[in-house]
Amino acid sequence: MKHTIWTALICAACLTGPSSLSACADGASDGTGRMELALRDGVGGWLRLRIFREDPGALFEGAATFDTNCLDAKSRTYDLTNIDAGANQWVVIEGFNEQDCNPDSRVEVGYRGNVEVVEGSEPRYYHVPLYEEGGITTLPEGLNISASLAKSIELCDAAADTACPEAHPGHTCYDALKPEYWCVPSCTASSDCARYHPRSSCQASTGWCVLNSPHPLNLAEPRALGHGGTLSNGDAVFLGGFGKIAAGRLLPGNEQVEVFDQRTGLFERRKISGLEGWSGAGLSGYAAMGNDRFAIVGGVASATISYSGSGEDREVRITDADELSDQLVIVDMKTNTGGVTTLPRPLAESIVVRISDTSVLVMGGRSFDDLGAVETIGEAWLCDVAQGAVSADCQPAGELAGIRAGGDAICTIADCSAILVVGGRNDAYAAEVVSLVDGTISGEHLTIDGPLGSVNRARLCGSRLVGGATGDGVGTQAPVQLTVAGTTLEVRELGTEPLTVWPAVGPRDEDGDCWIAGGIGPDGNDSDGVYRMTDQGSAPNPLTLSRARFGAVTAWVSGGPIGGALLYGGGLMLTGTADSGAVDIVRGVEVLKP
Amino acid sequence: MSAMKFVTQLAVALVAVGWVAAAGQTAGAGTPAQKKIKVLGMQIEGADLSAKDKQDLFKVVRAALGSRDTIDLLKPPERELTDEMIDLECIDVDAACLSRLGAKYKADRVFYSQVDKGTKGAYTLLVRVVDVKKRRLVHNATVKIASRMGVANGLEQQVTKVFGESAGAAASKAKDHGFIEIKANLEDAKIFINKEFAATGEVKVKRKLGKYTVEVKHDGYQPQLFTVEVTAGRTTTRVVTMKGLAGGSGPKQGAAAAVDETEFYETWWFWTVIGVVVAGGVTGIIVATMDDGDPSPLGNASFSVDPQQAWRDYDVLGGQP
Repeated sequence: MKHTIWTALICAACLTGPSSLSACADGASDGTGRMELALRDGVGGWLRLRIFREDPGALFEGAATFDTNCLDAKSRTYDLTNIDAGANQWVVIEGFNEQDCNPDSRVEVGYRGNVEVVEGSEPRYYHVPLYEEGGITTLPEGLNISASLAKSIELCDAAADTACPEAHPGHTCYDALKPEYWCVPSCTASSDCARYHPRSSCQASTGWCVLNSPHPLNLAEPRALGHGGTLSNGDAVFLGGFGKIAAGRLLPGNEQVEVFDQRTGLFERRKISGLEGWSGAGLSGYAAMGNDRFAIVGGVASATISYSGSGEDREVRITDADELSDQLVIVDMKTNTGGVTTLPRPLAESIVVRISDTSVLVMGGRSFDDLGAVETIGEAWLCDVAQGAVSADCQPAGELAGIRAGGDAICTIADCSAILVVGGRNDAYAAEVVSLVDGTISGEHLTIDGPLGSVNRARLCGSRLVGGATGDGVGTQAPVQLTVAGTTLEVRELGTEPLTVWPAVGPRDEDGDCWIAGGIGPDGNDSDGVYRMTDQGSAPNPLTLSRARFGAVTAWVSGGPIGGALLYGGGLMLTGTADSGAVDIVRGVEVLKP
Repeated sequence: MSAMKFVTQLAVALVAVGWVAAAGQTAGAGTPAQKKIKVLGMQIEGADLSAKDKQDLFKVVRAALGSRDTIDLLKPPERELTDEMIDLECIDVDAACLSRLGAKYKADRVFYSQVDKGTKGAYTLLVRVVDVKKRRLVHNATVKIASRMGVANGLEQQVTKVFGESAGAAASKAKDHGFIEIKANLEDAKIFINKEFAATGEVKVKRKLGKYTVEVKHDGYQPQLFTVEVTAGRTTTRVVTMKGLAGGSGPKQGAAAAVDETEFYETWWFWTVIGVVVAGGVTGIIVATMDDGDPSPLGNASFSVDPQQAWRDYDVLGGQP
């Protein structure tokens, strides 16, 4: 195999200035291995590195044991010697622009806890992720080890394709003229890569050694159509969802729960006792109950998501879903315990609303009929979960006005005695209002006053509709503001660009707005767009994800140095041509620091 | 820890792309205006090389031309040379033809090069440079190159023969001196070099090779005393942060030194071509040294913000492959 390093020229074009932050898109072609290296200065014109023995807090106000003060940012890696030894230290790196070096001009901030400075001659190497202020940062994943180990040498014989000097065993010569002679580690099997990292693998198409998942610097595994939230200590949590794909079929992963520890900046696989029997994966209902408890309702253990058509005619379908789950799972992140309660019937795509710290309302969904066929239902259950408990007591709670699956709902008054339910069906009954009295609901279809049609897979941000499909197709529905007035739903359009399907929706911020990321766009393609939906529509914003995705999980950090940051993790991407139906699962997190 | 005085030294083994570019801009800022020669560098010709090899070599030529402060490098013609020749009614790539070509593109000089394969792996370079106004060749050389690896070097040497050393190369030849640059955070801090007053606030001076003692003083602040070493053709920079005498205990801080590494890789083209990979390996070295004893044990660690190198992280055990 002939390897070609494309990096240099491609990335040179990405440079916009001395402190530019740029990366190059992937895209191997013509059967050659493309060597991709991001060309980031990493920091701005100035850099400050500090080390703390104690948690420095959100503002790094603690006493540092080491402080470089302002330095010219000439490097991305720093070897520090003669610093205080010891475990559990924090390193903080701040990048400033070229003009000056003060907090107001900070353009990036990075921190890393759980650092141990050891005595002796073998220093440990730590990666410090830098988070861009007001931008999106892609956490490390899919690392090309070969690229990072490429060695510039005087000469090698590319024609022979293997003729790197003996000092570089396992390296392949890169074909070019001076100054582009490189010896690059190459592989034919993953065992060839073990010398670099025990979990690295050989990318067969290129012959490079890669480390796809540099956990704990990123999620340990992909995650699609799962759930996210935040914990009372500020950490972000990822729950459920599909974790892998095999022969086009989405399957559960191995990590039911992962946590982003905002104190250390590292991800953690969180083992929750009591969830050994949990079989549900994606397409489950979900509600954050408060006090770090989360309810996950039903779901399917596996499914195929396929698509057909292209452009605005694209249709995306969940097909061949099986093993509908009849489990209601309570996860208590404070005690790292969980419990599985059996629901009266299997459910997927139910609408779940938190009623109080100790109860959730489960409405509608897809289930099996008496003959074993999948049907959409309108039944509801009110599930009580006592404080500190992880098991639920679910009682029938009446029925919706109509059957729904894949809708969304919000309480319209504080005690949740009235609930707006939107979408989840393909007819004119786009929304209904549900009254909850004495543990029983009664639904009433709303008269729609404004531009709102039928919406599947509806997603709400407060009372704004920010995501959804028209039937099985892509969105033609525009984002709208919804206001219940008696039996009428007043609808105010918030823009003309149709909604995306399965976007990642963040929580409402202090202004009541949400950040929306990705989804399948009205053009039929998965989107990389990120925007903030305000009460005046989507705010103009140039942000984009590094990779288009839909069905991603939004978890958010509410404390620490990147408090307020949104973590977009996992998701799916369309990988084939118009009617191939091929999707792939996405790993890794991108961090939006608004 | 308040009574202790620490000196932080930073040695940067290699520098990043952006910094090189910035340094270049700074260096040029103070030089007097000079009329530049407009040079039209033609694409590499020759029937034996692949298109990619020609492109690679052309990058080298353009980089070499572009690194001369005296040259204003023009955008090369987008059309094939043969098409240009037909338009200009040229019969051969001679002085007359290249002059017409230069006049068309408003050049003062035209740099033409041709690379042909010889026997036993050797190559032949033909390099012609024409003075457009005078319509005559100012350089016409045929050079034999023993092997493929020497082709690029040969072209660079031809550029040097015609246009002289690049500014960077000339600087790197300054073997007997270097520069000391001191930047204090207080504008009226007094800077002394080898006990001689040099400036207040900020200074950059040329000095012979060797070690120099620098002292930065300001009333009410802890004086900073440190040593810098001047190395050939380089600038040793220290950013000095003065700390108030009443400041109490604080972090290890003080001066931070950044040593420019220039030499062979200082030309911009080198970085645009391979800077990406090399930049991945750039490592700064920060040494915290103490002037008096510290009872706590000392250790070492490496910290990097480079995502591509994240697999080296001590804690990275990896997740699902």
